[in-house]
Amino acid sequence: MRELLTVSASPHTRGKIDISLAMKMVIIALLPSFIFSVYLFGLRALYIILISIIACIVCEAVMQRMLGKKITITDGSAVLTGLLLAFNLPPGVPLWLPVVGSAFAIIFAKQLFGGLGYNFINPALAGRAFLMASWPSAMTKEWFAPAGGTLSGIDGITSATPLTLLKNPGNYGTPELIIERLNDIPAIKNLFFGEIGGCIGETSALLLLIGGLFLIIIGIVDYRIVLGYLGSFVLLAFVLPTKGNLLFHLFSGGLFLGVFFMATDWVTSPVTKKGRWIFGIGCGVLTIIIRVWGGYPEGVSYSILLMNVFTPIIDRFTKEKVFGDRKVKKEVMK
Amino acid sequence: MNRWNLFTRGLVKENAVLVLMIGLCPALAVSGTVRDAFGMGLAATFVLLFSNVIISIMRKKIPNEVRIPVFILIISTFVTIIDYVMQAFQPDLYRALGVFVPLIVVNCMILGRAEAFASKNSIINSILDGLGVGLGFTLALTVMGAVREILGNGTFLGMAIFGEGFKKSPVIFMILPPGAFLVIGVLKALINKYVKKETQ
Amino acid sequence: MTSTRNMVLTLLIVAIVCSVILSFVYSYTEPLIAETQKQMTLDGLKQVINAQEFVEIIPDTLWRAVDSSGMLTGIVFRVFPQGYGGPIPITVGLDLDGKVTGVRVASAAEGLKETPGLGVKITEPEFKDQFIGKCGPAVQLKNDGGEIDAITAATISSRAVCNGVKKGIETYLNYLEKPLDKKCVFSGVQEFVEIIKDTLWYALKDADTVGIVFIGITQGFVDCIKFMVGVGTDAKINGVKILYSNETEGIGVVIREEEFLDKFKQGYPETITGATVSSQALINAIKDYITRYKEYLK
Repeated sequence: MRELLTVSASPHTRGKIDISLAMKMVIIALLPSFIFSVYLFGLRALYIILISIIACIVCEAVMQRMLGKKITITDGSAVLTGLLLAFNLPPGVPLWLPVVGSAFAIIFAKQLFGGLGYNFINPALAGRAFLMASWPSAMTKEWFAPAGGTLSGIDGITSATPLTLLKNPGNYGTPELIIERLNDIPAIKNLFFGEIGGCIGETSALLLLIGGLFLIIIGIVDYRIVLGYLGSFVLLAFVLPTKGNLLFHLFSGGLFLGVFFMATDWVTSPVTKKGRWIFGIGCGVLTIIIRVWGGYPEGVSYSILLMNVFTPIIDRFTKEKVFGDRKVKKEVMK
Repeated sequence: MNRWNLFTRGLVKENAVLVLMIGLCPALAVSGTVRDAFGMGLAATFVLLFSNVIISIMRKKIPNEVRIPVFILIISTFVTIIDYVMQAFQPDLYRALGVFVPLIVVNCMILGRAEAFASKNSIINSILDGLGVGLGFTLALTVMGAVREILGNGTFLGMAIFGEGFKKSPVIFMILPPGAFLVIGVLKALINKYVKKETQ
Repeated sequence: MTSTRNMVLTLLIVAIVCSVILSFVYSYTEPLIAETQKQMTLDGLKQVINAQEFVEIIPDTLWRAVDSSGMLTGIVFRVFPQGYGGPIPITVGLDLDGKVTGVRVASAAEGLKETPGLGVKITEPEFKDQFIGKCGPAVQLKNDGGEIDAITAATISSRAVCNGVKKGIETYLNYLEKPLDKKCVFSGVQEFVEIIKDTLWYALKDADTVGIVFIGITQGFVDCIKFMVGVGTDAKINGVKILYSNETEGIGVVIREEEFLDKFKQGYPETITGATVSSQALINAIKDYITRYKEYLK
């Protein structure tokens, strides 16, 4: 009875999914990739993931204590940030790197802006971008070959990930031959199942797809962002003169990880339906632009970060019309 | 307001960069190392001090309608002097500061003090004001430069301070442009917390 | 009216005073600025080659390095290959054999635009000191068939430096005024006895004088031509080599070719069509010099 009498601002009808449950669902959706990554890269991957998660939780608790807020480390958001950050690191990075990345993600990208719900960019991606800018050599060369496979997904090339290979094939052999083999069925199969090198959690397109579809079905991830992102990406990958074919681009790099688990972050994506379409399409366009013309082989994380920054503007321009409201014409204003 | 206050308020309480948020362009652009930041601060202080003095001397002679062109002429003269002198005696610093030396002309901090203070106050007061604001600017830049150089380059005034290991792989982010924004944001937050509270 | 006149006058006076002050400051600092700039260029050059003085051949691009006794020790050139973020300013020193004596890559403060942490590693000794002692074809990445290790994850910057150094060597190699072995112009001779310092020698074979070798200089089409000639006691030319020429690219340079120079052995050749001035100058000069040194041939 007392609950009914609580007076508060809208919304008054609340759904059953709260933050804690949503975070747990996302973590569950990431579990298959987590287990697979430990199988692929060994205990090193496990250490990095655990260190990253623990560092996130500790930073969150310390910051909330210092800022005099309620400590909310049990809601799972810090765990998710740590997990996603670790998924975005190469498996061979020194073990202090995830600690520094987590600290930046939680302290600067999240807590200083007001904590969960107020951060304007995805903390895990902010952490990754910070590490990428600070220790570029650690972030771009500490790759491990997967168990029973090669780093590139094709035989004989052990010094580059598939997208690096696509970007500069001339550094590793005859360019035409390499590109042909990258676009061939065995390589695509390796990409799809994840028998390739790469960041810890991004290798298996299949497992990420399963996790992502699970989240869409239970209603945690909005299909508009996913469809907008993948749709514009596929269209441009088909139209633009990229060296890889469509399937190669879809399954390589961190695309599925970004599409399902990071672009769809509730806090940093638009709230309006139209806005989510725009957000997704923007991510897709930027990703392919970076892959084709940019300096980096992969563009998922930067494209999502860029669109994060645009989210407030997108929300503002796609604001739903209030029922009964009419556009006031300028003549009337006189 | 006594004269001591006139001098000190520009240092921290009304610090140009960290409180008034003016003169941000050089603060963000040339605070990559302590030497550059300090050199930039001193150059701006020199221009600020002398333009304040001259403008204060001439304040009753300048017709109101042409005061801005006159101020700019005076300021740009001092900027050109510092430009030549730095080029002759500190060529390394000059090359590092690049276009930001001539751009002192359009630093709104200097024209702002000329317009708001020196054109209305006595010479002594203008000297104190110019020194205070200029040193405050230098202080802010040097602190930023120190933080960015130590973290981003592993050195202080070119000397490795956390050992060679850290110098080999420092937090490069800090000497990149986003590092400047991060440092200025954190310093601003600290100033807000500790200085503004005092004044309230 | 008075106020307008006042405004104009004030501005005028302020402008005049400012200009006068500035012109004083300028006249005082201008020579100092020129001096420091010269010193800075010199310091940069000294980092890549061991020399005392530098003679500028092409402004801001090519210098000839000279040691304290005035002997040529090599050349220094600057190149700007396209890197990852922009042109990379590189200074390279070459010794007389065409081997690299040192490479200096400008720092970020001097205009290097490579990625911090990756591309800027080309400024570090670990990378650039690899070039020392290498010549021509070896100055390439190992992937491209050379002997230089690329910086991991900064292949584009590394390759740009290699290409720049290699291109520079190819372009400026002929400015290396190499003291040619005098046997090149007088085969079969065992010993040379100097008569005039750095200019004229007796060629000795089995302790017999068989001829002379001299170095001559003449005005070509563009610049001077410096050459070495071996002449037998029978006044027949044994060989001609060009030590230095800076003739028109593609036309005048043919005077350096063996085919033309070898013709001197059968008597004076005809001028080369299209390079008349250069070849005529050389032929005339050799005639003159032989007449001048005739007495030594006896």
